[in-house]
Amino acid sequence: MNRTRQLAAAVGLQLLQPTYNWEPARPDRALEFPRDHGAHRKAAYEWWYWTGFLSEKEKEFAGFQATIFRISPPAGPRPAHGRRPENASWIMVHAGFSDFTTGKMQHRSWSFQERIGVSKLDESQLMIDVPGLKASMPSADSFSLEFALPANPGSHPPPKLALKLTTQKPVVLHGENGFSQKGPCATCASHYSSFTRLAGNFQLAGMPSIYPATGTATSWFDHEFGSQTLDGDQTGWDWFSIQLDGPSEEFSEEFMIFQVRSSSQKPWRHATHVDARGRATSITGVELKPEGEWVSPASHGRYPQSWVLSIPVASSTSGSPGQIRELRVAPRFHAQEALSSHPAMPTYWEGACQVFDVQTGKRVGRAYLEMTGYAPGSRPGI
Amino acid sequence: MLLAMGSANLRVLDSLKEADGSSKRSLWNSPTSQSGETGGTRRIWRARRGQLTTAAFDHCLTFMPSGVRCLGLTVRQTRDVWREDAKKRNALPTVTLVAVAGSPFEVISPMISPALVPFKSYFRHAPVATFNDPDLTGGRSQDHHVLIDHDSSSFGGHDSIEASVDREISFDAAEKILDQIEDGFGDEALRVDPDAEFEARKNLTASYRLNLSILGLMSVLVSGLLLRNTAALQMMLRRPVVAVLRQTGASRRTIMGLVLSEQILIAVAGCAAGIVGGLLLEQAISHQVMKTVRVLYTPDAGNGQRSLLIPIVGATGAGLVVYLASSFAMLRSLVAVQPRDLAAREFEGRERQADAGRVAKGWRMRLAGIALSVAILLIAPTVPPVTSQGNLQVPLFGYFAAMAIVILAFSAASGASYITTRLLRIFVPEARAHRFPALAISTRRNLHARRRPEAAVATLATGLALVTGISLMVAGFRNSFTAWLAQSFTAEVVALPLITQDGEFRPRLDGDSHNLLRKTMQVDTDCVLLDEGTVRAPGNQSSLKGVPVRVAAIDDALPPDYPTPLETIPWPGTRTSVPNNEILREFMNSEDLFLASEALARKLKLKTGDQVQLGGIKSAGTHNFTGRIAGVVRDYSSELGYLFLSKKSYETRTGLNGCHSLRVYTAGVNAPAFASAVSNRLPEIASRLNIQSSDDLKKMATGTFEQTFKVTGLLTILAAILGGVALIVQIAQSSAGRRLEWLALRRLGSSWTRLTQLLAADVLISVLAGLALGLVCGGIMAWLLVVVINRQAFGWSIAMPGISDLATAVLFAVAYAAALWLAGVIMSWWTMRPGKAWEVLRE
Amino acid sequence: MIVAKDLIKTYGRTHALGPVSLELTPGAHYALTGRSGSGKSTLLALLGCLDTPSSGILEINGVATAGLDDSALSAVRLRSTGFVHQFFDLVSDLTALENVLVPFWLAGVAGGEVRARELLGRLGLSERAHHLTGDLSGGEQQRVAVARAVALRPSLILADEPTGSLDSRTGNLVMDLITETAQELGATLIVATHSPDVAARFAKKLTLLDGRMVTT
Repeated sequence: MNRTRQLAAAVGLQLLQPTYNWEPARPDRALEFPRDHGAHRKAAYEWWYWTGFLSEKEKEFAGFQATIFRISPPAGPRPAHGRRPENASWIMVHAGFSDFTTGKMQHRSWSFQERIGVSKLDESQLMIDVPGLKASMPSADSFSLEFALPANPGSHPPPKLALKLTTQKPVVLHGENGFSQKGPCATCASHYSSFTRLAGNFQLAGMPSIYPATGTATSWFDHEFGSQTLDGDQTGWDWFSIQLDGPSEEFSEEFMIFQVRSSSQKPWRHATHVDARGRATSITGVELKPEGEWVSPASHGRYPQSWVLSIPVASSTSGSPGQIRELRVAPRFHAQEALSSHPAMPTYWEGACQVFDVQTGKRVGRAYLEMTGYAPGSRPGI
Repeated sequence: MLLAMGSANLRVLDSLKEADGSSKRSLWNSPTSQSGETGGTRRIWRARRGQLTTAAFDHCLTFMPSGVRCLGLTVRQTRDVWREDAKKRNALPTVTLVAVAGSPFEVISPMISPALVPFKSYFRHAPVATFNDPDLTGGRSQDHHVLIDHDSSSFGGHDSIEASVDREISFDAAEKILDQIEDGFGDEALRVDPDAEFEARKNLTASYRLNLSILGLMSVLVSGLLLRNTAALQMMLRRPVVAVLRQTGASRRTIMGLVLSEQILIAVAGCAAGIVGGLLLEQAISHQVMKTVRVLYTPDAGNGQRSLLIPIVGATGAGLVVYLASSFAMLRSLVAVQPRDLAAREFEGRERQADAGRVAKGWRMRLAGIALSVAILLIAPTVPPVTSQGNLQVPLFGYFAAMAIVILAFSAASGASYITTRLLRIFVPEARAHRFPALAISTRRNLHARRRPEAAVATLATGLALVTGISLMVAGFRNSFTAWLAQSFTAEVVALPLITQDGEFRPRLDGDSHNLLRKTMQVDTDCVLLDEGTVRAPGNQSSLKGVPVRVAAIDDALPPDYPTPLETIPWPGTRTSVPNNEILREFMNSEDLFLASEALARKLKLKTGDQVQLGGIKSAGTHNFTGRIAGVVRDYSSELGYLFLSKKSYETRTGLNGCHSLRVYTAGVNAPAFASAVSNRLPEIASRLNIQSSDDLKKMATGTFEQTFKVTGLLTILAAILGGVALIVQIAQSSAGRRLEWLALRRLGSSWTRLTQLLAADVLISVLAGLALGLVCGGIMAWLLVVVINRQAFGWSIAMPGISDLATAVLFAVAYAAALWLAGVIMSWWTMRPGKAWEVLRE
Repeated sequence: MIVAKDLIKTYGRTHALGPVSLELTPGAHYALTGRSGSGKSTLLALLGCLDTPSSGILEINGVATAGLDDSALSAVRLRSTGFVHQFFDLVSDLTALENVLVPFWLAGVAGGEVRARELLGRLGLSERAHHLTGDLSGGEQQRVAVARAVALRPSLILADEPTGSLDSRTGNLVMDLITETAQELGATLIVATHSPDVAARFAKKLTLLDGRMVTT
């Protein structure tokens, strides 16, 4: 949901906020796969999201993110015409690469209207083929993803990251069977599903030789679609995808936690816990505490330096019920701000993090964190 | 220097014409350049012929992941956006349809500009949104713009494709990426160099800048004069004080120190006030001028930041130097005189003796000046213009001759003043002197005086020459221009084809459709095919390739029931008795005759009967035409020049038929009615034509004309004001210099009223002399602008202004002179007013 | 008949003259003496209506000058008084004749030319009538000034150091002319002077000391 606004802002137009009532998310709509991994043109907006980490010989050297946003024609359905398919959407691709060795992040986004012969978004399965990004699920438990990476100095073709990933756990449906509430109103919701743990190999092409050409990768996949935008008093959001290292891969857990900050109300929060066996549970009572402050030299935005998450331990999680588990999420490096060069696009922070146990101080996992609404003048989409 | 401004104004006109082509582009550059994402490198391509294909655009899109942003644009004028049933409404305007690909606006199209909101319900496709973004409309929010998704349009390809590279990518890398895109386009794409475009725009504003800087230079000079006069005036007023100080025994050094430190204080205070006032004035001028430039041409003209430090430091520094130096010089001559003489006549007497030698030499100098400037002016029409790079004709000697008018004004000022006084004296002979004592005294005094208010007269004359000359030229130009417009657009309706035929660059209505239109609608038409080529003439051997020219193939220069749209003008080589229609008839009946526009004829020094060769015609490949010039016609549409030829012969050689432009004689039916009639009976043809009213076109042309000269007018008036101020201070200064004389008359029994009358009479002489001289110089200036500068720069004949224009100019000049006279009297009176200085003098 | 009573003139805080009271016999000639700054010029300025007294009464030919505005005072100055100044006070860009004609013009009197020529002739300036006064010698200029002063037959002639700028021979000549002309017109004459020679010409003396009249 939040990303709709970001998208609207990205293209510099309030006008992309739908004026037509596209089909809202419904609690009674059951998600069916692989169909619901595909595009939903009756929803106003939709996105597919991959974040993850690249390792070579057990050493994590980079984080990556690849996102594709789709937004339906704001004024309602449009017939096909010429090269334009029916209900042609506005597509925006965002790609980022965080280099842990140099402490530098490079990112780029590009956008266009769907055109026959240029882009393809399948509605029956995950099958995305647009300039600079290709994604598909060759089987029910595997992903094939390749996308263009920004690199300076620029070149054409751009460097490419290709990933072959296998799902480690079944698909997770957030909220009520994938109906994920994003705000107080009944329709302020989306259909939200994830693969919280993907693992496989990567191939890196076109990058300087200091980077390995192949290695292993882990990833997290999100897919969300809906039609309702948020209230005007939101100021930003903080969104976490946390993968904890278990004693072994089989014992690993994941958390998806987000909060939408509001100027007038308590932040709207939701969290999902995925246990080692892949069972997902919604948890309530999660507390998020920002720590310290990092001032971006570029945007002068003041971001929390790190976060302490207090998570009530549910019966199904490891540890005893009633206990509170405290995790610290801290960036691999601070300079992972996606600085906008576009006056209408918000500057925000999205990057690779490490997760520590607050009590022991030990690293217990990794995460991707998105923080918006901190840089001056970049209150997203409002 | 005042005249240099006049010439700069002509350069403005010149470059505005040149920049005409780039205006459409700059309009639609805005969405990208405004995005801020593309501060980096950018390229624009157009098709060699027709349009760039959508495949080319798709090719560009594949570069997006490398940091490229692509924009495809197609711009058309159309009325096709209106519902069929609404089309009959006359008020529905023609809109500028902009089909865009690669912009977020695609998904929310159609969008309309605010000016179209009142017509919202008549659109065939309901607009989704209104865009209230002046950047998108190039600042022209009044215009009717409809933004549509290119994929919704039936335009097929794109007029142009623009690719811009992320600013984070280095220039070299970006260039490499753009080269790759260009390679993929193949031979069909023609790069429009953004640098060249930028250059063109820079040139456009350059002449405005030149204009402004010449105005600036002029104000510096006039201000310098002003400051010198003010300093002199200050010193004159200090004379009694200095006298007293010297009599009381103060040393020269003491007095110099005292008075100079006072002057420094005054100067510093003046600087502060001057900076504030100057900046405000500069803002006001720039605002006005840039408003016009933006409306007419480039929406983002003059947006750059300018440092004000240098002009401020420069101006105040120069001002201080001039003021203090002249104060110092005046003061030195004051204290050099013996104390006893200071308040006495002796001082003036000594000045007079020094003058005497100068006077005799002065007369010789003046006569030489007059002779020189008259000689320059006389030969000016025969000196050819200089051809600059870009084939521009620069009337260098014409500008020089304009300078000669200034010399003339200064040389003749004393004579003009003498003659004016002589004439005025006729009204006050001895017998009537007692009835008009002020005039009697002033005229006699002025006749005897060895030093007349020459500078004042010359300043006024120069200012008036500029104002009168330019306004007369503009008036004459306006007359000629409107007459030409009226002649060229006798037809009620102008129809422009919208559809490009295969492989052609220019939209064309084919011959069959044209015939069908004529027959079905029962109308007469002027159907023109347009082209471009090069022409070689016997008089112009300098260029082997020939000179670029526009070609118009016309089917009927003599419509049987209507006046001809062409007007031949008398030209060397033509039998004087041959009337317009006969030349045109001869031209129509022969395949080997050309008509040349005046601009072309002048550029190539063509004579009637000359054999010329027309080659390099775009539509005709290697074919060449050879023909004789039958006559020369008036044309103000292009300074490149037109060659008219018979359509029959053009059609035979090129195989093209039909019209690129069509004028329709509808027998009184107006454009909207005709358009809807065509829609009803020939819907297929109607959709291929943009039918407009001739009157609208004429109005637009006249509007552009007026807008262009508004700036000229503004600058001229500013010059007049500056000149006026300089004149007033000069008058005041010379009045102050004659204080002893006023004192004598006062002692004798002149009341203050009488003294004021004397002042008024004195100033009147200067002003009348300046007025007379100014009008004469203005006439010469108008002549120079019309006959030399304009003709050489643009090749256009302009009628000399009519009687009513002359009357208006004279009236304006008289009003201007009257205002200056009043201001001069007040200023003089103020310097002479009863006060301390009188008392001191008396003791 | 000129009557002055308690004339005082101050310029700001500076006391320039007075109180001075005097009654001048019509047709009588006076020398006005006193040191520099004693108020001679101020008194002449007041008597000649060039300036107005700060207080006191001045009557010229029975008319009190107190209530008169600038035009009326200028008219009195023009018609009733003639002024001869040390520095001649001529308009240098007018001829001798024109300078003498100026009073006629200013007063709106027609036919001044005959009298002007006659006056110039009597003062020996016929030859110089059409010369610019700026080109004349000092003595000639002062004679033109005398001619101009008496052009409109004033009843009061005021001369302020008339010989101050002239050598003694020319000075004497000019003084002769002034007194003769005054006599002819029957005008009252006051000559302010430093020169004992000039003062000695007059029986009646007005002496100013620090702004006050010492003897009558």
